[in-house]
Amino acid sequence: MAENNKSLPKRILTYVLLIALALVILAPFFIGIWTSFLPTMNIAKGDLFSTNLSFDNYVAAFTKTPILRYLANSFVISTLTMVAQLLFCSMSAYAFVFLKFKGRNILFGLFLVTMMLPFEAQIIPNFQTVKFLGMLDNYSVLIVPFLTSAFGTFMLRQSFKQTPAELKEASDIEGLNHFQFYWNVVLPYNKISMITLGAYSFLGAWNQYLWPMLTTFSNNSRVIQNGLRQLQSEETFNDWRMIQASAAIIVIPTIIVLFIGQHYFKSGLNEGAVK
Amino acid sequence: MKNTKKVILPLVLVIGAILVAVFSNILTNQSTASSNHKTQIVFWHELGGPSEDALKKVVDGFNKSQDKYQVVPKYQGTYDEAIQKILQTHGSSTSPAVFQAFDISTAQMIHSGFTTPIQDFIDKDDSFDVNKISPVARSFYSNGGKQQGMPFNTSQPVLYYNATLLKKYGITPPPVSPTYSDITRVAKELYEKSDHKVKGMTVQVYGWFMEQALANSGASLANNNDGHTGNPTEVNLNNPASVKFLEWIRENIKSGDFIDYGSGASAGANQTAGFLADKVGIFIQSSASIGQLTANNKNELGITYFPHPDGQKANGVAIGGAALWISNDKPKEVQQGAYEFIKYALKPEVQAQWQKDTGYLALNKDSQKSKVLQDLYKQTPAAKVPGQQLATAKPNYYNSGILMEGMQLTRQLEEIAMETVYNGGDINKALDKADKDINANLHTLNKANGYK
Repeated sequence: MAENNKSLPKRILTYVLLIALALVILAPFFIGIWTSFLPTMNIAKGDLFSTNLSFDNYVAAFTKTPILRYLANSFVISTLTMVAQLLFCSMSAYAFVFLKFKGRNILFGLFLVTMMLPFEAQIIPNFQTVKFLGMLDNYSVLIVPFLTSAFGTFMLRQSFKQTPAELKEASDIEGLNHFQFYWNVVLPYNKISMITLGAYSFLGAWNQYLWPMLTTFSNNSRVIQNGLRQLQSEETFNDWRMIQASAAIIVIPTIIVLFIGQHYFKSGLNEGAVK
Repeated sequence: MKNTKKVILPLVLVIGAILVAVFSNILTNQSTASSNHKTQIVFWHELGGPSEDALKKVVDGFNKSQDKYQVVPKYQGTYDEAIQKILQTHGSSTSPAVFQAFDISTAQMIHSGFTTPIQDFIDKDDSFDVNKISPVARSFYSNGGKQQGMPFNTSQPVLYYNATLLKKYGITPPPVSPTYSDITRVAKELYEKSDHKVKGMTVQVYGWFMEQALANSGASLANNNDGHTGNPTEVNLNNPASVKFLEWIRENIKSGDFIDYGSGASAGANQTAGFLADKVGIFIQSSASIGQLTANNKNELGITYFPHPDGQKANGVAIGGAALWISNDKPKEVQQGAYEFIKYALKPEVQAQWQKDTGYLALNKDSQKSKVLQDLYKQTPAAKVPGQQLATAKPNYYNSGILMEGMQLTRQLEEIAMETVYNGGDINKALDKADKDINANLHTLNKANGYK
C-alpha cells in the first residue's frame, strides 16, 4: 500500500494538519451542542463552557413548543419531495438519454436554462401563481413547485449516459420494453446516483426557509426551519437555551439521512469492485 | 427476496409520510370546526419566542372576555417578511383581518390603501378614550390628523449602565436625562478606574439610534417635516445633530473606552453578553431588552434616557416596535371585531401585564397605577425609567418617526456611514456618501410609485 511507504514525520504532519482542520470545522458544531445543555443566562453572558449541564432544555423544547408538529411537517414534505424528484427526474433523464426524438437537445437546453435562474429570482411570479391557484398555507404549496428539478434531471442524465450500450442492446434482444428496461436495468445500475440525488433533494427540502416562510401562515403547515426562527424574539428577551436545543434537534434527521446515504454509497462501491 | 428488501425502507417512509399528511389534515379540520359559531378574526403577528407566549395571553383574554369574536393569532416570520406577505395576499381568502406591522413600514402601509384607519372606529365609539394612550406613540402612526394604525408593542431606546460596577469604582452615576459629555465622563472613569479591564461604553451600529439622536436633538432627517406634512423628496443626514452624535462616539473611541460590537442581530446579542459579563459598562438598546438584563442578573441595572447633545434640552426620542392595523378587505363585522380586539389590547390592565411579560412599554396612562407595574418597579426601580421617558416627551414632527418609504435600505446606508466613522473614516464624507445613496434610492422609489 502507498501509505506504508510514507516516512513517519510525513505521516505525523498529515495527521496534525487533519486534526487541526477537523477542529476548525467541528468546534462550532460541538460548542452548539454543548450550549444546548446550558441555562439561558450562561449563554446570554457568553459563558459557553460552563458545566451547568442538564436535559431541561430538550424537555422544554418538546413540551412547550410545537416542534414535533414542525418536525412532522418537514418530514412529510421532504419525503414526498424526494420520492417525486427521484421518480420524475429519472424518467425525464431516461427520455433524454434513451429515447430519440426531434428537438431533444433543444429541449434539454431549455431544461438547463431554468437552472441558471436562482429560485429566489422566481419567487414573485411563483408566489402569484400559487396564490391564483389557491394553494397558499397548505402542504401542496411546499411540495408541488418542487416535484421535479432541472438539476436532478441533469445529474441523472449524465449518469444514465454511462450505462453501457450493450445493456440496452441485450434488453432489446430480450424484448424488454422501455419501462421494463428503465425499472429493471437503468435504475439498479445507477443506484448510487439515485441515492445521491435522494439525499440531496431530501436535505434541500428540509433546509428550505424563504419559500415556506412566505407561503405558509399558520403553525399547522409550518416547517421546522421556520419554527426555529419563531423561537427568536424581535427585540425582547430571547430564550437562548430553547433555541439551541431546538437547533440541535433539527440537525439530527439530516445527520441520519447522510449516514444512510453514505452506507448505501459504500455498499454500491463494493458491488462494483466485486464485479 | 433481495428486491423486496430494498423496497421496504422507502415504502415505509412514503406510507408514513402519507399517513401523517392525512392525519394532520383531520386534526386541522377539527380545530377549525370547533369555533365556527364565532366570527373569526385572523391576526398576523411577528412576535416569536417568549413574547409570543405573552401575546397569546392577550388573545386568550380577549377571546374569553366576549363571545362574538374569536381571534386566531398566526406567526408570520420577521417584520420584513411579514410586510411582503401582507401586501401580496391582500384581497385573498388567506389575508389577515388585523395585523402587526413594524414602525418603519408605516408610510408603506398608509400608501398601500389596504387598511381602514383606526380613527374611523374611534370616532364611532364613545367608550374608548384615545387620549389615555401615549401621545408620542400615537403620533408615530397617525397621518393627516387621523390615527392610521394603533401602536402596540412599543419600545424606546434607552441607555443601560451597570450600577454595581459604578458603585464598586466609586463613580457618580449619570443623571436620568444625560448629555453626551455626562456619558463620556462615566465611560472614561470606568475604563480608567478598572485598570482598562472594563470598557466604558458601546453604541451598536444601528440606524435606529442614529435617527433617535436626530429626534432627540430636534432635527429632522427627511424634508416635509420628516414626511408628516407631505411625502419626503430629500434626505439630509449630514446635519449638525448627526455630526455631534458621531463626534461624541469618535471622542470615546479615541480615548480607548469604547468597544465596537458591529451591526446586525448578532451584534445586539454580543453586546448584551458583554454587558452581562462586566466587559462593558454602558450601552444603548431598546427598552424591550430589559427582560434579558434583569433575569438572573446579579448586578444592579441602571437606566437613563437616551443621551442628548450638550447645551440644549432633550426633545425626546421616537418610539420603535410595531402597530396593529385593520385590513379593509374584510366584511364590516370582521373589521369591527378587529377593532374590538385592539381596544382590548390597550386596556390599562392588559398593557400593564404586557409590559411585565415582554418589556415593551405600557401605552395606557392608567397602567402605571396598576398593581402589576407597581410591584415590578419595587423589584427593579430602574424599570420605571423607560416609561417616564415616553411620558415626558411631547410629540412633535421630529420625534414622531420618519414617514418615508424605503426606510429599510435607508437604515442600512446609515449603518454603513456609522461603521465608516467607527473605523476612523471622515464624519462629513461618510454622511455625505449616505445622503447621496439614500436620496438616489428615495428618488427612484418616488418615481416608481408615481409620487411627486
